[in-house]
Amino acid sequence: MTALRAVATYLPAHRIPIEDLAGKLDLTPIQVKMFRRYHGLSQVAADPGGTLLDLLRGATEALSELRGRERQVRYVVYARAFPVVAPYPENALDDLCRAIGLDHAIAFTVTHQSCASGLLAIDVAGRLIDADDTEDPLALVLAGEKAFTYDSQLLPGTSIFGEGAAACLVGRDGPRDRLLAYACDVRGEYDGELSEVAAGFQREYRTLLTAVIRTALDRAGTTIRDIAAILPHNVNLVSWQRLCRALGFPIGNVVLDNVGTLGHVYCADAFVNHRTALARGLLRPGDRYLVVATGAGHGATFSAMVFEH
Amino acid sequence: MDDLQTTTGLRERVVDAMTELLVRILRRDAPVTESMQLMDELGLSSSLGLELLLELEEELSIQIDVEELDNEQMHTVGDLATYIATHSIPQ
Repeated sequence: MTALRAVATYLPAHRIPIEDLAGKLDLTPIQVKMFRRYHGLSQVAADPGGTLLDLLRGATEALSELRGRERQVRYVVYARAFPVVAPYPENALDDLCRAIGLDHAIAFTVTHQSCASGLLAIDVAGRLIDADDTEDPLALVLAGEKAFTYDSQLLPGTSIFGEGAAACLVGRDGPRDRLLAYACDVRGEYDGELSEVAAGFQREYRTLLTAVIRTALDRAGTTIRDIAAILPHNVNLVSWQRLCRALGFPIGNVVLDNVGTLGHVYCADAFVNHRTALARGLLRPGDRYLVVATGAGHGATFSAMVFEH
Repeated sequence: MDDLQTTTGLRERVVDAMTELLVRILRRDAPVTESMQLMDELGLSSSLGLELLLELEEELSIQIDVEELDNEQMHTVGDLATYIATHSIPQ
């Protein structure tokens, strides 16, 4: 069993209206209008003067449940959408572990599932601590990236990335947020820069994501009717409207609050939306909920987890 | 009958505008016809499809309701024109 013991986020206060990004991202006026009207995106979170370490540190500082439990943390798993996020030899993960007293932990990064790597990190963390023979071992899952290159700022026609970070303490068990099932479908055929590959991904997106959600629900022994909320990836509104029609799930129970104001915060979306769901009172003890992510880039990954709050 | 005539008239205007817009948006040398398949034949992506709707709204001074728009209504240029003609209001 894997459980989320605590979730914390750090979202910088600065916001950039998407119109101000148009020049930098080569967006035409009609594309800006498309992002606002259909994708529901008006601004993104940004920390112009901050570093990657500042973002990650912000999240761990907000994770009060970590205080006094540092020695129990056996693993630090950093989920990233991009393989390289800082020039060599900088290593924000190592710097962070030293700074917060976790240099004894085994720290590494999971990537290559792009924005679905956040769910992979929870799965890996759960497996590692399950096999660990110390008393009540914990893993710290981190997410969050700096949007400083063109590719890391824009998913053309789909989404604009925002900056933020999340820190999540994972234990073998816990009173809330117990992981019931995980399903992940890695599709290597969508690895390529050709327009036919992108078109194929777009065409099959809903079918493949719906299938992985149904697999996760089956593994959890539950159905979509028993799901209280979906914590989505913040890719855009229109894709969730269409996915909800395919799933037969009410769009109002998908936590889309942050799509318009933060942007797609890489692998941290799930955790950011977890905080929002709790703040809005959407999750009551015993409620089951879905966390859904898609990673697109070199190949595609469709992932879903079912939790019980 | 009036509604039907209005819808039919709008559909014709949508087809005319859409076939011209698609040539420009997709940078095609050859003309686009009503029977062409938007995704499989013309290679229209979801995002370009949304851009196309916005361009049509501006050109025809209409507002298109996309709530019920799905791939099923977007097989051919004509299918999409029918959807637009029955799911739009004047701006």
